[in-house]
Parts: sequence; C-alpha cells; structure tokens
Amino acid sequence: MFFVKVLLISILSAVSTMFLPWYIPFVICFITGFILSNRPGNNFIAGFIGVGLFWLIYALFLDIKNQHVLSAKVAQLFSDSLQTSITGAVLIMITTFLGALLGGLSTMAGAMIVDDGSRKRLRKAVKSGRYTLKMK
Amino acid sequence: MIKKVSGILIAIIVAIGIFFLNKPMGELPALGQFFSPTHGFWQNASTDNNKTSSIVIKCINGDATVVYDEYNIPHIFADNEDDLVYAQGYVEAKDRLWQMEFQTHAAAGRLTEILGNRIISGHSVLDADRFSRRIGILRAAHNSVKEMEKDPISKKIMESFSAGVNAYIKQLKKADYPIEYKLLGYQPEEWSPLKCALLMKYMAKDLTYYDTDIENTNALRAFGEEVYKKMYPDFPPPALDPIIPVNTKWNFTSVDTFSSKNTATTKTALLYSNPQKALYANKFYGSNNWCINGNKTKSGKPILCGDPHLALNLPSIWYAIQLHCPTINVEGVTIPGAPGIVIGHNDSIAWSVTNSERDVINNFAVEYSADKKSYKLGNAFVPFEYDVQVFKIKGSKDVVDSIRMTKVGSIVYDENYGETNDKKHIATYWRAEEPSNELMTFYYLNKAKNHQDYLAALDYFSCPGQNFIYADAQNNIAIKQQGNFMLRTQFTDGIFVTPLANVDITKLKARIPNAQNPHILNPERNFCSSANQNPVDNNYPYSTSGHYENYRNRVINSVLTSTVQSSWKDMAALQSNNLSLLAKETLPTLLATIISNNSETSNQILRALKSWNYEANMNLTAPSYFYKLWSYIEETTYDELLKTKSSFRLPENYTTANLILHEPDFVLFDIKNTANIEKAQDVVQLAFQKTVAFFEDYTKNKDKNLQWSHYKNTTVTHLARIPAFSVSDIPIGGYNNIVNATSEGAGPSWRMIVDFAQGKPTCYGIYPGGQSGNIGSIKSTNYIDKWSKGEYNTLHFFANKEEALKIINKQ
Repeated sequence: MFFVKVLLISILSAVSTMFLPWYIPFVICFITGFILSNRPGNNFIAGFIGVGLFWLIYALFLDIKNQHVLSAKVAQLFSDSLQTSITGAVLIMITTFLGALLGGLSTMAGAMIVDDGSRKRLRKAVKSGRYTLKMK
Repeated sequence: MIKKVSGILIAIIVAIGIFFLNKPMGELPALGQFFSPTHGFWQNASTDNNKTSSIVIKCINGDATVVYDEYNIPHIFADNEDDLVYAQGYVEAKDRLWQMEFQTHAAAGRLTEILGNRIISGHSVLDADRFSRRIGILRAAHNSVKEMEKDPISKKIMESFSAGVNAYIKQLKKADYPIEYKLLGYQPEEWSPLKCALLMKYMAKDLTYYDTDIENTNALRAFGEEVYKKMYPDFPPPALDPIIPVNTKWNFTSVDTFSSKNTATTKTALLYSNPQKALYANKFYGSNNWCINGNKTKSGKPILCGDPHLALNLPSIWYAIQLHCPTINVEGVTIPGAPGIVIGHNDSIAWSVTNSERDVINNFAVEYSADKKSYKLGNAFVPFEYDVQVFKIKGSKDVVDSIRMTKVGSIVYDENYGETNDKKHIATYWRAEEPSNELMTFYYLNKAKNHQDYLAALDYFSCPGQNFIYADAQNNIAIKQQGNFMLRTQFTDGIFVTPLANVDITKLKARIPNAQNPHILNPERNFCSSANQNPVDNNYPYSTSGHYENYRNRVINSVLTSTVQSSWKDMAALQSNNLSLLAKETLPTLLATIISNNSETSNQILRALKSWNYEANMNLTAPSYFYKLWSYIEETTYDELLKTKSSFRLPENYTTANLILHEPDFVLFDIKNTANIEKAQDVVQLAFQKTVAFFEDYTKNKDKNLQWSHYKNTTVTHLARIPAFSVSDIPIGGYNNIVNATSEGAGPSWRMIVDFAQGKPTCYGIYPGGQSGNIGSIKSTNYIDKWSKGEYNTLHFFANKEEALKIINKQ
C-alpha cells in the first residue's frame, strides 16, 4: 500500500504537471491522502518521498544533461544576493526538500481531514453502489 | 475531531505557503515556481546539445525551412520575401526573445514596469526611464513608424516580421519562458513595428547621444578661445589621417546659403556650473572597418573587414543568420528584433559600418516667461507644448511626467527632473527625432548587386550617421559617410549652447545633401578604411564637428599602405593588432623625464616600461603600468576641469599627447594651488609617483595579478547587470585607441572578414557571446574563447536549401 501510494503520487504528479500549474502535485497529494487513508505519519512520508523523488530525479536529469551550466550560474546568483556560498548541489537539495516537504504535508493533511470511520463507510457505500453524489 | 481540525489547519498552511511561493517577493522571484523542476529555472537547463538540426516554420504563404549549422547559426530558406522575414522574426525570438523585449523596454522608458522603481548599481530605474522619454526615444520611434508605414515595402516587412515574432510567443509555454522572465516575474507581450523602430532608435541613442555643448561652452568661458582650441582642436595635430584621403577635391559647392552665421564664440554669456558634476569621459565606443582591392591581395580579389565596437553584453548585441529566398540571399549579423541583415554580404557585395561620431545634437538656452509656461522665440513668447508621459511602476502607483516641448525639441532637465545649474533651461534638438526609414537601407543593401545599388540604399539612412564600407566581386571598393547631417559651416557651429530666441529653425533642420556626403570609390591607394576619425580634411566645404579618434586609423592605414599579397589571415592579424600607438609616441618622452625613486616598485615599473614593445598583449605588465600612468597624467593635467563645480569634457588622448610632446608649457599643465608653475615634465613626474604608490598598494593584495588581461578584467556583462550571468576576466589584450579595442567593458562586438578570393564571398566571423540568449545553454557563451584568441568561425553561405540540408546528414 505504501509503495503504491508513493508511486501513484510520483506518476500522477509527473503526468499532470505537463499541462497544469507547478503546484498541482500537492493537490494530487492531498487527494491521494484523502482517498487512501492511513496513519498521518505514513502519509507524510509517502508524500515526502513521492514528490521529493520526482523533483529530485527530474532536476538531476535536467542538470546532468545540461552539464551543470545553468545550475552553476543560478547558484552564483543566489550566492551573490545572499552573501553565502551556494552550489548547484545545494539547489538540487533545496528543490528536492521544497517538493518533498509540501508533498508530505499535503498528503498528511488529506489523510487527517477524513477520519477512518467515515472513510470506511464511504468505501462501503461506493462498493455496494448505494453511494450517490449529493449535489444541490 | 482534533485530527480533522489539525488536518484542515495543515492544509490551509500548505495552501498559504503555495500562494506565497507562487508570488514574487521584493527582488526574489516566485520561489515555488522558480524551483519547481517542471516549471521553474530547471526548465531553462538546455539539453539541446545537437550540433546541427533543422525545423520547418509555417509562415504566411507557405513553409520556411531553417537549418541550424554547427555554430548554431540559422539558415532560413523561404519561397518569398514575406515568409522569409516572418521566419526571421520567429527564429530571432526563439533564441533572443527576452533580450529583444528588454532592449525595447529600455528604449521606450518602460523598465519600471518589470523592475519596479529600484536602484540598480546606483541608478534609479525610474530616472533612467524618464531620461529615455525626455530625450525623445519614444517620440523618435513613433515618427519612424509613421515613415515606415508610408512605404508599402517597409510596412510589409515590419508586419511580417512582427507576425513571426508573435507566432513564436503564442506557442511558448510558461515553463519555456527565458529565465529572466521567471526571475523578474513577468510575461512577454506582443511584438509590434514600434518595437523594431524602438530598437533602431536605441542604437541611435547609443551612437549619437553624447553631446558636449554644455561642456564646450564651459571650457570656452573658463579658458578663452586660444586655450579652448588647443584642448579641442578641430583637426588633430600634427597628423591628420581622415577617412577620405587628405587633399581630395570636392566638385560641388556648399548649399549653405543661410546668412545667420554662428556667433556663439562671442555671444555666449553663461558659465554653467554643476554641483553634481559628471565629467564627460573622452572614451566613446569606436569601430573599425576597411577593405583592400585585388592589387593588395594574393588572390587578386578584394577583402572587406568589419569590426563594430560596442558595449560587451550577454546576450550578444549581434545575431548571425543567413536569409534565402528567390530574390534574396544574404548572410551576416543583425540586431535581434530588427529585420534583414545589418552587417554582412550577399553573392555580389559585402559591407560593414563604423560610427561617424558626427555631432547631431544642438543645445539651446531657453528664456522662460515669468510663469514658466512659455519661452522666448524671436521677440515673442511662445507657449510650451507638453508631452505627457505615464510610467507604470511594478508594485506601485503610476507616475506622470509632463515634458516641456519647444519648436526645436524637449527640455530634458527642469525643476521636475535632474535640473542642475549646468542643465538649466536647455532645449535639445536631436536629429534622430526627424522622420526616417533606415530599414530600407538594409533592405536594399541586402539585395544590392553593385556600387550604384549600394549608394541608392544608403540614401535612406539618416541617424546615427555611419561610415558604410563596401567591396564587390568585381573588385570595386568604396566608403561613404552617410547620415542626415546638419548644415554647419564654421567649426564653432552647433558645438556651443546658443540662445533659443535667436534660432533659425529652417537652418537648424537643413541638411547636407546625400550626394555631398564624404564618399570615395576605388581610391588610388587601393584601400578604404575608417576608425571613427575625422571624415575629411578642411577642403570639405562643411564643418564636421564630432568626437574623433586619431590612433586606430593611423595604425590601420599604415599597415594597409604597406601590405601586399594579403590573405584573409593577414587581415585577421590586423583586427587583433595590439599596438598602442599612444604609448609608442609618448612613452620615450615620458621615460626621459621620469626619475626613479629607487624603490623596488618604481624600478620594476621602469624596467617593464623601458623594455616594452608597445604591444598591449594580455600577458604583459607594462600596459597595466602605462595606462595607469596615463590616467594619472590626465588627472593631474586637467585638475582645472576636475576640481571645479562645472562640467567639462576631457580632451582626446591624442590632444593631451600632443601637448606633452610639443607644448610642455601649456597653461593647463600648471597645477592649481601650488606656488610653482608646473610644466608637462612636472606633471609626468608627479603622475609617476602616484602610479608607484598605486601599485605598491595594489600588490599588497597577493590575489591581484598585474598581467594586463587580469588587471584590465574585460567583462561581458549580462544585460540586466546580473554578475552571476556575466563572464569576466577574459584573457584578451588590446585597449581603447588600439585596433583590438577591447577595454574593460567594450570592444569588438562582431569581427567579420569577407574574402572574395574564390570568386564568391567567404565570410569569417566571431563575436563575444553565442547565438543562444539562454544563459542556461553553453551556446550562449561558446564563441567567447575563440573571440579572445582572435579566431573565427568560417561561416556557411549556402546556395540553396538542399546544400544546407546536407550538413545535417553529415553528422
């Protein structure tokens, strides 16, 4: 279940960001957490790894194919304006951590909003076909 | 329940977090989006490492094929001219969109819209914008658009080109925006003919807006006519080497039949004083171009060389491209955002430009009425008109500026903007505001087959005045200085501030006929050349006042005079020539007067200078010493100009050199506030002592390298002044007044050699940058190394599409 969740988040994030805004992975995390509930900690880690891994691999892929030309310059830009020494590797870490943190929190929030009891009842209802979408 | 509430709370926190990460904060970009690898800066990490490629662009009438060669230079093949220029717009935007737009924003005074009103390296962005609008770049561009719309050819070109740029912008996804848009948090807007016009006026401003009427008036008033003429002689003593050889006879008579001759020298009764003085530097951008005919080449065919010197920027000012359709086949460089080729060649001819440096600005002292709402013209007071300009400011309210307009031009400085005692009540007339259609010059030059076509094309060119050099496959060579030049008779015409009340507007707007502009075809000396020197000697019936160089031209002409059996490689060597003629002519005299204080540094400097061959090569220390010494000589000599409240202009280097060599008793050598009367040798000795002190201090820091290229630190600077995106400490020699004019931040911006040896032209070219405008691509800087070594790319000039496509199959 845990790995399914991680994979689901990674794949759905990758596909949806091709044509939706940059923050769409976190909406996906929230929904995933909402539907596939589990303990909040478990969800946090799933979202953390799910988005983090996707962002890490994608950023690394782009950076390596680019031979670090861009990351070196952007790192220098941040080093100059923050008066510290930032490298391309730090940029990769910031990218990964940002995606991972937002992903983890979103998934956890999604899981926490619905309590397990009502989620079970909901699932049952959907399975038995007695569930109808209530709309005004 | 608690779980649910905290879940909602976390969700809200995350949502707020994303909201803020999606917004630019102060000078920081929208960080979430910026770091997102799917939408942010990582998307600008170019993974396009292909050597060659091709694309097809859907144009107005049909498709155009673009072949990118191994230098990333596009070769566009279209079936008609409309599609060709459409594809050019598309391709330029593809590589240089941000630069194209940023430069037009700068020209239009709209930088506050994207940068906000912040201070960048000491300058207020709003003030810079207001300056652009006040001097009239936008007004000039609007005039230019009106003129271009009158001619169906130029109208069509502008429309097709803009459509091509817009087609590229429309298909561009947010994730693919150039990184500068993401950093500054804005979007590209629609391209229009006005933007093309703005680019041309931006160049006009860059190449003409350095008027010194105020500084000249101050000098005249402070030192009198005799001294003034020695500081700013109309012709450089003692060696004049103009573009048109001396003693050339002119078979026309002056059209200046105006009776009102200038009387500025006697009637100017003001001495401007400027508390926030800015000393006008005597170092302006320059350029070289020359050509030799078959009598001087191994092949018996001509060679033409172009080498415009401009500020060194990334993305590069130039973009190399070949344009091909049934009626056009031309190759060279263009300014991204401008249709056609600006410098280049076709099958029959080659051409290049240097700046004329002619003065095309007149300043007038305005007499206001008591309420400051009208000004004196003739004997009457005429009400001002107002040019009301609105500035949109990112993150702040709009600012409105209303600019007083007189019949001659705007009042740039007034109580609302930058007024000082120096810049008080001055109306400025700028030739670039006159209607013109420079685009047609390039359109016809691109198609020109012979010398007649070239002259006809030039007739459209108004501002900035340029020296157009020409060579053709039939072994003809020529040069013409073309522009809409003012009718000036005496040397003093137009170089001082004169009362607006007395202006003769008809004479002010009158021009020298194109046919009377300096021009020469197939001169006896078998070469033509220009390097921003005086265009003519005093046989020419008009005054040609301006800011002229007198070193590069003499080096070039002496090499070209003696050259025989040349090949393009000899011309390449001349383009990288590092001889400092200033040092060669002055240093022996300077060294003869300098007395060492026998300190280690002092002896070291003298040893280096004495054994120097006057070549400003990158690995020598002597140039570092010499140029520092020279700047101290200027500083010490012209203390009268520097230590006052008035603004002045430094005399040209050759004038200062000439005074040291031939008039060591000149009054300005005397240092103010000393009991003695100093002469040139005292100034030199004092300057040397300062130089020694400077280098003693300088070498205390062990990181600092005295070798010329490190000391000079040539830097190619990113257009938005972002140091992290710039390239510095480039290993290259040369300097101001040297043929290889690479200084700290300006220099050869496009070195081109067109050799007709094979019967058809072969073009060698290089510039300090790369074709891509994306700083995340190695293709944005990959020419710099070759450029610094004086090497060239051998450009492909394809006869047709099939030939071009073959290079892709080769890979």
